[in-house]
Amino acid sequence: MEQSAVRTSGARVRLRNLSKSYGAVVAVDGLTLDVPAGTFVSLLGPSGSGKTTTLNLIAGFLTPDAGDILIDERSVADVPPHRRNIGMVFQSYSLFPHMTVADNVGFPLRMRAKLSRDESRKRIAEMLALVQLSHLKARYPRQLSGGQQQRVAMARALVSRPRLLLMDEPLGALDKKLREQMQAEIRNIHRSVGTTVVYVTHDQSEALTMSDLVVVMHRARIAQIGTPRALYEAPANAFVADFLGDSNLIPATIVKTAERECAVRIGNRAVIAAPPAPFAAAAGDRAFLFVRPEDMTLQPASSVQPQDRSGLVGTVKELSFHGDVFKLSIAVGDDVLKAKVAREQCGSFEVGRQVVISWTPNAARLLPATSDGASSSESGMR
Amino acid sequence: MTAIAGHTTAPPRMAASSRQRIIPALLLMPCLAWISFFFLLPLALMCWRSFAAKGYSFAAYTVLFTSPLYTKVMLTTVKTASIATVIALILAYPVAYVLTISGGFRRALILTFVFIPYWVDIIVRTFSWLILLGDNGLINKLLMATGIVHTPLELLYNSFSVLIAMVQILLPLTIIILFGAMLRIDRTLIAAAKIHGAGSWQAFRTVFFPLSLPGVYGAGLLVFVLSLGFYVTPALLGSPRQTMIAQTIMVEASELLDWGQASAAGLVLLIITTLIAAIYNRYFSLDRLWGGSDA
Amino acid sequence: MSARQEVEEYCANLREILAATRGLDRRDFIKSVGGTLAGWTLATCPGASAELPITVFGFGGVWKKAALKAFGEPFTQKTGINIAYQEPYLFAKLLAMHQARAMQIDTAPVQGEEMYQAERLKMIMPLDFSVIDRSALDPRQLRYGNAVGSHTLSYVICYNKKNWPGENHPASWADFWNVEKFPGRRALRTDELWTVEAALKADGVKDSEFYPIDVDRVFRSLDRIKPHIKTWWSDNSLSQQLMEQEEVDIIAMMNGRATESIRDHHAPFEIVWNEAICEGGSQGWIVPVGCPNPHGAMKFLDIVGRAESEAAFARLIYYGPQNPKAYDLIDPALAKLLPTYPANEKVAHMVDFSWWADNLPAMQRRFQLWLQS
Ligand SMILES: Nc1ncnc2c1ncn2[C@@H]1O[C@H](COP(=O)(O)OP(=O)(O)OP(=O)(O)O)[C@@H](O)[C@H]1O
Ligand SMILES: [Mg+2]
Repeated sequence: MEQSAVRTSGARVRLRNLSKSYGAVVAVDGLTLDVPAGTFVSLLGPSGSGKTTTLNLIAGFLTPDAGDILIDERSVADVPPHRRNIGMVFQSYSLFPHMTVADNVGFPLRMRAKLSRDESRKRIAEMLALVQLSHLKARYPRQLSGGQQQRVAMARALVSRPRLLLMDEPLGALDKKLREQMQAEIRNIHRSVGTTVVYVTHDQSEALTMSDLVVVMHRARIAQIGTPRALYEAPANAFVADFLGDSNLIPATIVKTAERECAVRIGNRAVIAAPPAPFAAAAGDRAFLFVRPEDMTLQPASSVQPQDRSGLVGTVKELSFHGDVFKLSIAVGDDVLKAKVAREQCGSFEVGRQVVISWTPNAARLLPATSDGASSSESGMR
Repeated sequence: MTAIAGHTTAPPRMAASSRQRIIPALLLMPCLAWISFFFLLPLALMCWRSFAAKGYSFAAYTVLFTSPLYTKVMLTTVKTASIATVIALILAYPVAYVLTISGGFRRALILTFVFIPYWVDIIVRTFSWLILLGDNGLINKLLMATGIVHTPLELLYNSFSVLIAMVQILLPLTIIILFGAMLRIDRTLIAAAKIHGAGSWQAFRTVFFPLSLPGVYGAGLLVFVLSLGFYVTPALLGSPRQTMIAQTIMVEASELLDWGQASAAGLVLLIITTLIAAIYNRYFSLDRLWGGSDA
Repeated sequence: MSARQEVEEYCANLREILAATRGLDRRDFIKSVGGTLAGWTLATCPGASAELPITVFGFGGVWKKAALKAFGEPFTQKTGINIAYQEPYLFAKLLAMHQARAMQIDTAPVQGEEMYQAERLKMIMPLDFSVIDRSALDPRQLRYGNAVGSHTLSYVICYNKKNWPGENHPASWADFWNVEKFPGRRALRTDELWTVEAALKADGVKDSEFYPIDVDRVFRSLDRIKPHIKTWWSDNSLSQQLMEQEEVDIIAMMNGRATESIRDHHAPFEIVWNEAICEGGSQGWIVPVGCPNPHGAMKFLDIVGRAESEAAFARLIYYGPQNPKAYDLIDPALAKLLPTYPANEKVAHMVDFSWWADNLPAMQRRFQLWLQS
């Protein structure tokens, strides 16, 4: 219905070797990224990893020290922000306090498209209908709730049908319930308008649920690019593994490499079979063995004969209830592993019990120990 | 009411809550004492004197409102102060804006230049205008040397010289107040305007300027109230026609020793100032302009 | 050494300096006084530091410098009594302190109609002639009984010699008012007293019929000159500025300031002594009732009225000494520039402050209204 009215085609955005420093601080370091037209891409990363800087470079608020930005194959190096035809939603919404909702939404039309009065009124009405705020158009921003302001900001950003929409942590100021609701709304709106969206967040679950493509940033560089699922299941390094979801990163030493399988030793204990390393590795190298907690299988030690114990043996240290699952911390030697079990299985595991931990070989991955992310203190404790 | 209920049902809690009220009150005491002693007490004294000095009557006020001298001086004062305020605001605004958008070094440099005149005594500054604007002053000499005029322009002893000197004195303060107000404007609003299609000038016109207006009104009020009290400048640079109320009050108090009359004039000036502030607050407050709920 | 001897020595010393620097300008005189004072030591005055200081309430600027040089520094050197100087003198402040019974001033130069007010309000302590040496004073200095007359000033016409180099120059108030005969830019003082007196003189009122002042006649006379006044000055330094910058051609101003501008800053002006509106010895130092250090103040008064101090003060600020003996110590070239110089005094018009003491507020209001409209 009205979807066709607001629909535009998204822009293709390419960043080539983009760099920006503030004095001695390197905020963005040689970023290269290709965002296909119409894609919802998230920039995900811890605080200070350069997400906002990247966004501001695309918007044109900052000039890159090196590299180039192409929107639809055209370099925008010499295009000032107001001519880039971009919509933007700011973290604090940045609605104009001295304008009504309708005037806020109509602002880009007044500045940009020289539309007739009737035409702009129609467009504003359309946009307000899209964000379900038609009844509040005469209000001032300070008379709105956070979620309503957020929607006005969306409407303002989209009203002139920009082919690219930038959003910098647009939901950061909302409570959890409202966030989730707004996430769904933003997805819907994206689907109906078809613009390319670059979405900045440091909330990994937000990035995973909303995006077509996630760019994980770490220390001014890209740690990995991929679909949410690829990133979750096949992180390229310990930082990404750790940053997205819960994970076990078990320090290991490679004992033997082979084409289809390799063997690693954990601590000075068991030698375990693992899938082949996705990076160049030789016997004696150190690495991380990565297993998601939900991929762990637990059995009470008492129910398994010692000779059948193919996995690791550990002691339950902690048990916490999370509604649908229980999370367990299990001490294995010096390491503490995390596991998740379904609610109904939990009866057999109590704190202090010995358990046998195992996983299917496909569930595990070897990740390089040298990844600069692995030692990062800010991400190590997830 | 709650206190009474508390007293009958739960005396210990009542004690605790009354202590909670007493302690802040105690902490306020020095401040209140200070204000009373240095502000309210003299004011009360002034008020009392304005009645008592003329045999407990409104005689002083009658003089104030019936004497053509006071009416005239008051009108001149308000007129001069208003014009000076408007000029100061117009001149200060661009400087404050440049200060707002400049960073570190440039800001410090401009601020230094803004404040240099502050280190020079007001009387010295006023006298330097005499040297600049006189018949044989720098400006007239220059104009005559270049043949632009043949007889010296009358730049002194009129409202022009009074205004120019007043504005010069008021400028640093005006700039600082405006700068302070502009610093509080959220800069991402400008970014929001720009990304949504506004060029620099449009962003200024549609967003920055309207948002700076409450600051302009506030600065205007303060500067106006300050200008009402000007004394040295009109005395030295104006003609008797530019006499302002502060001069008249000074003459009443120090030459005629008519403290009752001076007090009455001072009080009326104070009341006018307060009234202006109140009206201002009523019609120019940010909350009211942009849909505050407390309207 | 007794206090009397101290003062004698001080006077002798000052006489020497005045004689030695006779004919030299103000700066040389200041240097000599300073040089001699540096030689004196407080050792001549044992226990001096224990004395309470006195608070002198005087005008600021040049006046303060002159008063401290001529009376203050020698006084402290000889008596060991320190001086705290408060400025600027304002009779209203003195009155306020008196009414609040919180007098902080030990001595002040009261003038004109203020003296009558102070007398009426019983603000003045009787002079202590056990401390003040009566014989050193001229009887005229004691005309008010409780004040020691110090100096006198006049409101004089000054004209630019460039405009009127010859004999045909403005020479009276009638000439000042005569804009056809003496065209030029004019300046008068915004203060009512001086200008009112001048206006009556300009209208040809004889001194014998001057008081009580015919107020309507005053304003008729003022109406005639008003359109021709380029500027009304309110501040003494402004009047000097007007003269030095040659912003006006004829100006009426206080004689000491005029002399300073002419002698020391080379303004091309000449003073007219004819019909100078003269204070006529109405200035006097008083000790207010209830002051903290009356004894110290009396000692100060013992010094201010003496011929030597008066001469020194006149050398510094060009106001006329009320003690005629001072003229023996003043270079005749300078003496001719002082209001109390006999030849000047003879042609001057003397103000009667007793009339003004009763009529000032009414005159002031009427004058200001006239001036501002
Ligand atoms: N204006 C600035 N001046 C100096 N350093 C800056 C400035 N803005 C950002 N930085 C630095 O650049 C780096 C990247 O900052 P950026 O704002 O892009 O991070 P971010 O990923 O958006 O972080 P956050 O999640 O906290 O918003 C940080 O180290 C930051 O301290
Ligand atoms: Mg950020």
